[in-house]
Amino acid sequence: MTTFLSLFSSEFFLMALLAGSLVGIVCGLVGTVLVLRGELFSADALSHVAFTGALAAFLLGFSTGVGLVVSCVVCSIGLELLSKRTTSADSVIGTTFAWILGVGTLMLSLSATQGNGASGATSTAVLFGSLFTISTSTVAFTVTGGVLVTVAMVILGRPLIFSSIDRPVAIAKGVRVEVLAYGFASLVGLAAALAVQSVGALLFVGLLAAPAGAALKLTRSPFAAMAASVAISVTCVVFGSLIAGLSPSVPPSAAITLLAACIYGAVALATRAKGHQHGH
Amino acid sequence: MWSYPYLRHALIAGSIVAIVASVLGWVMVLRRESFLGHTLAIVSFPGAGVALALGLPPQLGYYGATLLAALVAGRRPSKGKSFDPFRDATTGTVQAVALAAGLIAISASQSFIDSTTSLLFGSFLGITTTDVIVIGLVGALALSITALMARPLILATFDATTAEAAGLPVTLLSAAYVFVLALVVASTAQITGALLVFALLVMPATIAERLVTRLWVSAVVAIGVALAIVWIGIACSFFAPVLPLGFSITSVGMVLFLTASVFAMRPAAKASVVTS
Repeated sequence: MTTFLSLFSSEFFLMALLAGSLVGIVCGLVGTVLVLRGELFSADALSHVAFTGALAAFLLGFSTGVGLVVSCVVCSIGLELLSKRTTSADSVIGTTFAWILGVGTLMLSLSATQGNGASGATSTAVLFGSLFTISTSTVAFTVTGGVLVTVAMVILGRPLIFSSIDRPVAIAKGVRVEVLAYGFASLVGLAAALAVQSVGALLFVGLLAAPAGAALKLTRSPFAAMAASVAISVTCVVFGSLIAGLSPSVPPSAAITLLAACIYGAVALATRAKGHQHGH
Repeated sequence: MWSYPYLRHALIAGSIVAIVASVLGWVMVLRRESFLGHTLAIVSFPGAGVALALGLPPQLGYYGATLLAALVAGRRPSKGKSFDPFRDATTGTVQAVALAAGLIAISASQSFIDSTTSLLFGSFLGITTTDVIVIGLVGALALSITALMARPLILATFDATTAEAAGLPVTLLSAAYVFVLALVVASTAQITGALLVFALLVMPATIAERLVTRLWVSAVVAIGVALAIVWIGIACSFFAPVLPLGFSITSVGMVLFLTASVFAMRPAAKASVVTS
């Protein structure tokens, strides 16, 4: 029986907390801006790109981390480029990632014929994450990447929010919105690569959407929302990992996601009730 | 090819699914609701997984999960706003909750892991006559509802304010459309797998949009494109079994999309867009 205290003295759990918290911070920051810009769907697309990218790396003999960073960052910038050149960005993004996922199924079946079952493990780990079995090198990679994205988001935060909320005024004030958009796209790609290794491709969108949604319900200021979103997602990572650590039948990524969704649901209901009180 | 019964079933079921999904997808693309459509497609997988883990028929999980997700995520944007960030946030959260539930179901029942791949990526093989009949009935129901509400729905899509002023029940229309989309996604996912549904929803309409500019014509073109994608895709995978169906179908779609994009860049096509 795992006890509360023994969890905190076990290395795997501390590693998971470290990597998970960094992912929480990154997703909280990036998620708020994505929700404000209405670009959550491109993160959804990236989570599918990650699947194909990781399997491609497996087939070519690269490490999963390299495959994820390259595929996610390149595709994130590519999607930004695509959505600039068309009026119906979402259907073009959808068409593109549907095909990239199709390529992923080909890689899955190609690698399955290579035997040894490692590709199946790779695909499950990428889809659902592996926070409790994360390797030391992956933790180092997550911490480095996480700090990088956090610093970049702190520096770019103000112009980024400005250009998301009022683009014409931002352009008039000399903000280089296009350069900023590509910079942000590469940060989203990096965030996806980091998050996929711990929470998994399929649950990445939840960690972007739920804390940001809750934070934006709580405060009108986008900067306060970014801070609140970080606080909520890190809380979800810590308590989700605790729940999963104490009850082994619950995978950590599922506990983290469900917790985040509960917070968003509770905040949405509470603010709605408050809105009715004030007669809105 | 026609002499194999399983292939006959696959072609018939695939054709029905192609027609129905492309029509609903055509509306989805016009409404810019790909994220919602993709989320409905994604939740069908954990729905089936949870149902299997509880010993219930997977069909119940497919329909239950997509209809539930449609109920939560399908609300229309707040009045007077063209963009509602919370709609996106809710959609993403619904998707994640469903997948987390699916993940718990997977780890609770080890045997289910084997069926994960087929739930996600589908298998056109092993489609029974009953399956074909059910898919046909659901498809006919979905198409009739869509045909009945097509005109007001499209008006509400392009200009909600005018539609409302004209006395159209915009909220009801939007809800009815999301409901039908959920039905179609659930029935399609059963044979194509959760991941391929979205390709059949989004690709034909996106391609059609680039080939023709007239609204109703593009719906017909989307149906044609969808049938071509499914037939050529099935044929490719039949003659080259190393290619999974998901790869063949999406690749045919991608080739058509790229061709259509080049076609749309012709000077003549550009001029016709401007004048129409």
